[in-house]
Parts: sequence; structure tokens; C-alpha cells
Amino acid sequence: MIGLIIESIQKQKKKLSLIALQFVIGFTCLLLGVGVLENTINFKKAISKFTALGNIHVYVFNEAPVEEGIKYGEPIITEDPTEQELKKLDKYRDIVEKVKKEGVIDKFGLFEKRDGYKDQSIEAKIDNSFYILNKDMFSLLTFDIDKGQIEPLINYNSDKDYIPVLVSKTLENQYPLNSQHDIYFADFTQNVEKCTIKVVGVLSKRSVFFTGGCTRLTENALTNKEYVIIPQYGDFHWNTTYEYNSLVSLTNNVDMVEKLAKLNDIYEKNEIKIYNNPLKEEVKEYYSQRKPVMIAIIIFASIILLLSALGFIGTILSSIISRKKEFGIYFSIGISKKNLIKLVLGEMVLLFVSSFLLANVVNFLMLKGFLADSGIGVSFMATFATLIIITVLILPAIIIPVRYLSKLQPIELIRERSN
Amino acid sequence: MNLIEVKSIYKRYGKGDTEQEVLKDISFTIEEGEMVSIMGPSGSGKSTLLHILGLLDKQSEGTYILDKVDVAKLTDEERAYTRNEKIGFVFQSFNLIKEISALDNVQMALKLSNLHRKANNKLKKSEIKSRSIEVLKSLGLEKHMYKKPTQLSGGQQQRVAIARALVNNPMVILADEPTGALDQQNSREIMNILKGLQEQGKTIVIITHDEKVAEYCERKLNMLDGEIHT
Repeated sequence: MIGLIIESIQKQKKKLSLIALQFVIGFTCLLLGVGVLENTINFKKAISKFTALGNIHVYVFNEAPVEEGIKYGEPIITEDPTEQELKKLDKYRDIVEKVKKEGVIDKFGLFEKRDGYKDQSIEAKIDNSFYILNKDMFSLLTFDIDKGQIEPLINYNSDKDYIPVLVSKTLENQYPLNSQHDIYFADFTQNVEKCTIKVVGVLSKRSVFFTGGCTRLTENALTNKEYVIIPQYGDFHWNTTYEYNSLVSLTNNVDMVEKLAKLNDIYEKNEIKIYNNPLKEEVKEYYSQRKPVMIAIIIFASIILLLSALGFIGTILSSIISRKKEFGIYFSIGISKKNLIKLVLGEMVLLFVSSFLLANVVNFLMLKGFLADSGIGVSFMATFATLIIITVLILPAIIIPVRYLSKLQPIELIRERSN
Repeated sequence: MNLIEVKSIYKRYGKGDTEQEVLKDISFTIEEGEMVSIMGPSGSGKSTLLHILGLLDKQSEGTYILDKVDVAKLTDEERAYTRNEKIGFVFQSFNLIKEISALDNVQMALKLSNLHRKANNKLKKSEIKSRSIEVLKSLGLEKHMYKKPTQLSGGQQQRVAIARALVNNPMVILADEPTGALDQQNSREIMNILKGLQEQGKTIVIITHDEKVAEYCERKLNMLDGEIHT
């Protein structure tokens, strides 16, 4: 029967290819829409699993970029670092000390993003990111460990000749568990320091980490795949760390407003303006940003699929009518009605399945191509959910022609033939 | 031995006032290996009778026994199987599938036969092809088997249709005006082929209103207004 179905489709390839194209567009849009929806749900799940949504991102808002041509949050590399910048760094360090001392907040998590180099030359830059976390940051985050352990990082006290690190799953081959590597980090003053790191743990595929350097801490966290987590082994060197890469938890959330005001006062006394954004607000913003895109894609996909389904019903019905002679021939050489229905049904199912597979390929290429930074991944759940939606949408398009076909009598087809 | 036994067959279309009796009390028998023509003017019911004989339609009343089986008791699936295995059709307008080659048209009958066969008894692709080629060759179509029907003459198309009817080695060939669309020379050729098949033991039933065609047959059944006049 499968051979007959394929032969039959080949005979009608011109007629069916247009319908298949419509289906591929519709299915691709739907896959994408469901992918965006799943990504949005995953975003909240991933962030809330990573850290409490009640934690607050505190950041310094500069009126203008510190230096022309440099975006907010990017580390400032100057040939000759000014006294002013170093003073600023000291000021930030003092503020953090003071905030902790006065007990305004419970934890003041900080992380510094560093570029790593294979040797002392600037050309030897390593592609992945290195994040150095202070102890408070570790206590604010929950890492999903796949292999190894996190404890050596939490309890790190510089008594070893290496720094224990965690690596993201995608870096496992580059930095296998228990392997040691020499990495060179450039500091604020362009001095290069050599660090020996030892991989003590590999994070799970689902792990996320903040990219840092932006006013929204969680931005691009889902797409951040290649990174190394390092415990703080010395002072932070970049103003950006204090300006953007902080996460705080308040000792008692009941007095949140009051405590945030107090935190604000400490910064203001140092002539620094800060903003705060609870992570749950960031998640909400993410939702509201994605919502219109999601709705637009799903509506577009639904319209395309509806039109495709209607077009399909029309095409199949007209095809059945125009194929009456062919069906009459099949009857005369021994096909039963049941097998004829199987044949036509098989053609339709094969058309759907091949269109769906093709749509998955197109979707995959899009997600790996120009949508690679969207954070939307190819997932079994999204594919399965789309398949269910498609089946429900397409079912009437199958039932109507099959019902029509089941009512046809061989003799009607033979008479059609005679006419 | 009787291959076909028709007893008091009636065929009616419509209901109540619109009811129309197309076949009235038709009874006859056809022996295995016989070549019989059914003649009659248009509207006499001969095509309806052929469709009933070919299991494409059902009688409203009466009994039709084909190869000792009362076909009224067959399921839809069994009727399809019987059409495929025991009956071969040849139509006036050839009824070939235009989009595929002559060989594929012939192979189609064997491919459909596989739908009725059990898994361990299915014909292999190579067997389907070789059997189809053999039949096409026997009808002088070896040079035309990869051509589509539209690339063939009327006579060649009808020979392809006969090849398709023969490929399953049926007991009976039902031919509905087989020469109706052909010129005299091709008509003669087709009738000679059918006569040759009868001589090989096939039972042939031909619907025609051409006396010359009927002359090839041993027996004629004349139909008028849905009745047989012997």
C-alpha cells in the first residue's frame, strides 16, 4: 500500500506541491510560535530555579557612556587608566563594605566578567566567558551540577595552587572534568595575571548564567552557553562589576521599600545614582516583550494553516472528483472501497508528515541561523505540542474528503468514466 | 461446466414513482471457455448487465453465480478480490491511467492483487515487472511498454488494456465495446487477440452492437428493453 501511495503522490506532484508549500509555511510558523511560547515559559522556570525571583538587581545608571564609542556595561580598557577611574573603583568597594557593615542587605552578590587569554598576547583571546563570583553571589544562586561538585568553589580559600572552576556543559570537551589549564586575565590597568584553573564540576545543559554588563541582569541568560565560573580569588578590577553585575537579597523583604531607600542613600552620599529591579519584574518584562511576537506568530500560523486546510479540503475534493475515472479504473482492476480510502488517506497523511518534517528542518535552520540569538531552541516538547495542534486543525481536512469518498459507489465512478 | 449462471436478475434504479427497471428477469449461463456476445441498442441494459457480471454493481433481485460462488454473499473486500483475480475488464475507451507508462498500467493490476494477498504470498517487485513485461510482449508491445498511453495509438492502447486484463490470468474477460473506438484494421486485430485468448481457454463476454464483432463469438445474446431475446 505504501508503494501505491508514493506512486499516486508522484503522479500528482504538481498539484500537491503548492499545498505542501502552504503547509510547510504554516507548520514552520506554528513551530516557531510554540517555540517562543516554550522559551518564555522556560525563561521563568530557568531563572526561578537559578535564583530567587525576590532578589534584586541593583545597577548604576550612567547618564552617558563613560567613553565615546563604548556601550553601557562594556569593560573600559584604556591605554592609560585615569586616576578618576581608579578612584571610582575604590569608591564602589567602600560602598559595598559600608552596605554590608550597616546590615542594609543580607547578601551583596557580585560577579565580574573577564576575558581570558591563552598566553600574554592579545591575539590569544579565548572565545568563552569567565565569570568570577564573590561568596555572596554563590549563596544567591543555585547551580545545576551535572558532574563533579561546587563545594570547592564555595569553600575556596586560596590554599591550593589552582583555582577550582565550574564549566558549562558546552565547554566540557574543551575543559574536561579534573583537567587543569593556565589562563591569562588582563586587569584594569592592562596587567596580565596568570591563573591555573582546575575543572571540579560540569554544569547541566539546563544551567543558565547572566551575561553581565547590562541594565537587565537576566537578559540573554538563556542563550549564554559557554562560560566558566570561578570563585573570587582577588579584588574585582572592573567598575562594570559594581555598576551592573550585582544581585542583592534583603534581610527582611517586609521592609523592602525602606531598605532600598537606605541603600539608595548610601550610594547618593557618594554621588552615585542607582536603580533597582527585582528579578520578578524582569521576568514580567520578558513576558510582555515576547507576548506580542508570540501572538503575532501564532495568529499568522493559524491563518496560514486555516487557509491551507481549506485549500487542502478543496484540492482533495476536486482531486477526488477529477480522479473519479482513475478510481473507477482501480475498482475495475480490483481495489476495494476500504483500500481506496486507505490510498487517499495515505496520500494526505504522507503530505502532512512530509510537510511537517520539512517544516521542522526549516525551523531548525532558522533557529540555528538568523534566529540563533533568540534563545529559542529546538525542543521535543515544542515539536510534540505543534504536532498535536496541527492534528486537531487538520483532522477536518482529512475527514471531509474521506467521508465524501466513502459515499461513492464503484458504479458511479464507472458511469463517470463512461461519460 | 458453467462459469457464469445468471438466474432471474432484476436491476432497478430509484424508488416509488421514479423507479426504473433496467434489467428484467435476465437468466442465462456461460460455460468455461465460451465466447459470448451481448448485443442490443443503446439503453437496452447491456452495460448494466456487464457491470453486474463484473461485480461493479449489484442486482436488485435474482442470483448470480460466478465460478460456483453466489456473489451476493461476498463482502466488499471479497468482491474486489474476485474482480482482481477472476475477472479482466476491457473497455471501449481503454481506461488507462494517462500519467503512467503502459508497463505501470499493467503492473497496477498485480500491485492491487498484493493488497489481497497475505504477507508471505505477496508478489515481489521483480515478479510483478517480469510478468507484466511478458504479457505486453505477447501482445506485441515490447517497443511501447515505457510509453505513456497518450503516446500510443488507439489499437496499442487497447492492447495495453487487454494486457492489464490478462496479467492476473483471470477466468473471464468482460469486454465493453472493445472495438468501439478503433478503426477496422485495429478492430480486427483486437478481435483476433480476444479469439486467440478464447482458444487458450479463457471465457470471453463481449458487449457490442457491431455484428462483425459478434460474428467472432459462438453465441449471441440479444437484449432489448432490459430483457434477453434469444
